[in-house]
Amino acid sequence: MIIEPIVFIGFIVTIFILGVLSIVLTSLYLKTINKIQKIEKQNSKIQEKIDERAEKALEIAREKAVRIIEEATEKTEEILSKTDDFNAESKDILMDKLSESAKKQSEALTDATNLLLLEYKSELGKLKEENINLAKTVSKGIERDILSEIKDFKNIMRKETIESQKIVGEKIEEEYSQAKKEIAEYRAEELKKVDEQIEKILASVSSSVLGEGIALEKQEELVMEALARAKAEIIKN
Amino acid sequence: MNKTAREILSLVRTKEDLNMLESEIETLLTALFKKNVKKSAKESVRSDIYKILENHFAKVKWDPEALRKILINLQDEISQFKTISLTIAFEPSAKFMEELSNWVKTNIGEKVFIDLSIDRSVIAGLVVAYKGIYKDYSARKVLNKKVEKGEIEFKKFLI
Repeated sequence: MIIEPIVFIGFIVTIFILGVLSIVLTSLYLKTINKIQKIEKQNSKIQEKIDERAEKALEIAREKAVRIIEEATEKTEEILSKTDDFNAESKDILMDKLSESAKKQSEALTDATNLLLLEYKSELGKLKEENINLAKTVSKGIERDILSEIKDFKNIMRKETIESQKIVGEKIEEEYSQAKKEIAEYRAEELKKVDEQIEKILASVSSSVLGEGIALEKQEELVMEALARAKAEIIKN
Repeated sequence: MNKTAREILSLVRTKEDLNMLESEIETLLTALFKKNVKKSAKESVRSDIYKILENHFAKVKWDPEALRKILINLQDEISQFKTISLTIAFEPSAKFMEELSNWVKTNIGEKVFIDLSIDRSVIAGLVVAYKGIYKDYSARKVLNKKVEKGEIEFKKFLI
């Protein structure tokens, strides 16, 4: 049984195209995974930088606060020293109180700063964890989508292959029927020819045998008789 | 037609004989310029034709011009001849061939040659073609008619 070359080539081309699409999709999937991993790394680096900057900013803010307090204390001392109404004892007491107050404020500010820093770090940690979870979810989502696409693609490929096989099968069946019909017709025709040839051969053989069977004298006699008939029918005219 | 030409033509019975004679005349005509005409004639034609020519020039000298006239006369005569085609089923003997030739000359005319063919399938009898008319008086024709009518079926002999 012979498959028509066009059908066979069509089948091969379909398989080739589906194969190329499969390779392209796999390649896209791998590229996407790589991108996600890169994004995750970049995200981590950015967060680390943010942490460092935040710490620095808080430190600067704390130092500024301490400096402001110190400057205020100095200013107060200066004002007090210029006031005549205050005596030395009162000045000392006030100075002590002020120093104590400044120290307490400074300590309170440091505690507050540390607390804020801890809370900030904790929040950042949560945020980082949420980002990681989000990235993981996105990654899984993409993976699921791609797997779904591949599954659809496989189904389409299977469907296309089955369709192609069906078309090829139908075509073969059609060609086979046609060939069968043609062979039957050809056979009938050839048999008819053979019959005719057999008749001719047998006639020829019979003629030769019959001719051989006639004596030479009889042959000559028949020729002369035929000549006489010919004279009567054509020569005289 | 002169006597020598008639004698030569009497040797010709079939188309083959006629063709050969035409060829011999052509050869001899081209050889007439040679010095020894007698020798050229002997080399160009068959012995029986040469004998007739030898008899003609027995009392006179071999003259190229006289010979040329004979040959031209022969060519003229041949061009006027008609052909009757006969097909028979067997190889004829010389005697039967002469009989046929005589019959043709007597019943049709002197200036008619026989173009004879042998075909075994004729079985017996004769197939004639003359002046564009074809007639089949063979046993083959009778047999074919019977086969066509279904009176004879050869295939049944195979079974």
